[in-house]
Amino acid sequence: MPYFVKGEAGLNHSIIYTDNTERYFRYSGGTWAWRDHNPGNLVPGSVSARHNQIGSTGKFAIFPDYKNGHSALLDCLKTTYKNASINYLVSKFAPAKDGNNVKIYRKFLHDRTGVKDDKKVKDFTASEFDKLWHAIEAMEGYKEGIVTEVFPITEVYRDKNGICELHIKGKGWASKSECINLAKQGCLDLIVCISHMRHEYLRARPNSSVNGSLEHMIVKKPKEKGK
Amino acid sequence: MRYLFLMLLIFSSFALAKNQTVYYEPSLVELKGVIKDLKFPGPPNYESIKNGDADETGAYLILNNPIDVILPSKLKNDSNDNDEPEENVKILQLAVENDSDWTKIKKGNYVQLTGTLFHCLTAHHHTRVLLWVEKVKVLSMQKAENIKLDISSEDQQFMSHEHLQSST
Repeated sequence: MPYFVKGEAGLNHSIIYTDNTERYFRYSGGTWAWRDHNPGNLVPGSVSARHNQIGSTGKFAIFPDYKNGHSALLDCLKTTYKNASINYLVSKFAPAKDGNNVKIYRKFLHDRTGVKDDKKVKDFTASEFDKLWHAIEAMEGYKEGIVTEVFPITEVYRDKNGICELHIKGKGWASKSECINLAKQGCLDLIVCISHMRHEYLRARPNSSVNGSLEHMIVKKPKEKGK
Repeated sequence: MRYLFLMLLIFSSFALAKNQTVYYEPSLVELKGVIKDLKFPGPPNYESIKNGDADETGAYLILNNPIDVILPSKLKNDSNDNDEPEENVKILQLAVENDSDWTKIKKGNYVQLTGTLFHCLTAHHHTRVLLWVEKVKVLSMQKAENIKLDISSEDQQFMSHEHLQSST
């Protein structure tokens, strides 16, 4: 059963996962909590490291699956916030000025858990604790988006006008225009750029795990299509 | 000889400019600075309030001088294993214990805050280190409005992912 070993921030707030068989998958749309398998919206740190964090967007920790991200949230509730009441927890977990956010968040957790007093998280019953993490995950926003397989470019051919054909791993050679369409659909980890002459061209995303610079993949002889 | 003297002078000025070192929770700290309101986008996408994300306007303390925050020498039961050392911290997001203290935590106020420091853990945390405020002493009121957001390069680097919408 393949599993994700690396996660990185892709274009347009997507996350690109690499699995253990070196296939790549883009998570786009939905919410961050879904895209980075991080239902508690935790940042990278020792808690996320204990739960197999496999990357970072710069702000959010990226986990290999929901199960690990969910465990990180439970860990944080059971350690960092074990001595917190709901009011204290919200003030520390999601601090904001005396606006409505904190009040809404507190009311939501009080209503969902049924805990109205200053009972500490460590004293919650199993049922109350389940309701607590469900409520936090709901409040953080867990909405699914789209998963697309991303294919690496392995070779490119260039004629006098520049790169005209690209070899897609597992699919064979494709024209530049086909690749521009695939890049726009998120199936390639390439950036569609526009030249000063208003022509579209492709370049690799910096620091991409999927493929390196296209300039380093140029082959001298044209390849037979379909291979 | 002249160069040696110059080097010594530069070295000593760096040594004198060393930051104050303070401890993470559970140690109480007392810090002075100016309150500033910063507006960040919250859930679900933490990107743009205009495009539907929650408004996470919060109060922040811009410290007079940067601090280095270190772990307590001996971890105690109530210390937090998520805390990690941070250097050159000039801005702290404020989490307030008593709601009534918000009347004193007004933008532009020059204050002395007493509380405990903790490291960022969730996406609602917009600075590297936060202060859990237990006591507020207003030293002067709303004299420092529209001050520049004077923070360290380390703070700036962290906050570059936070999509700051406005500061007042």
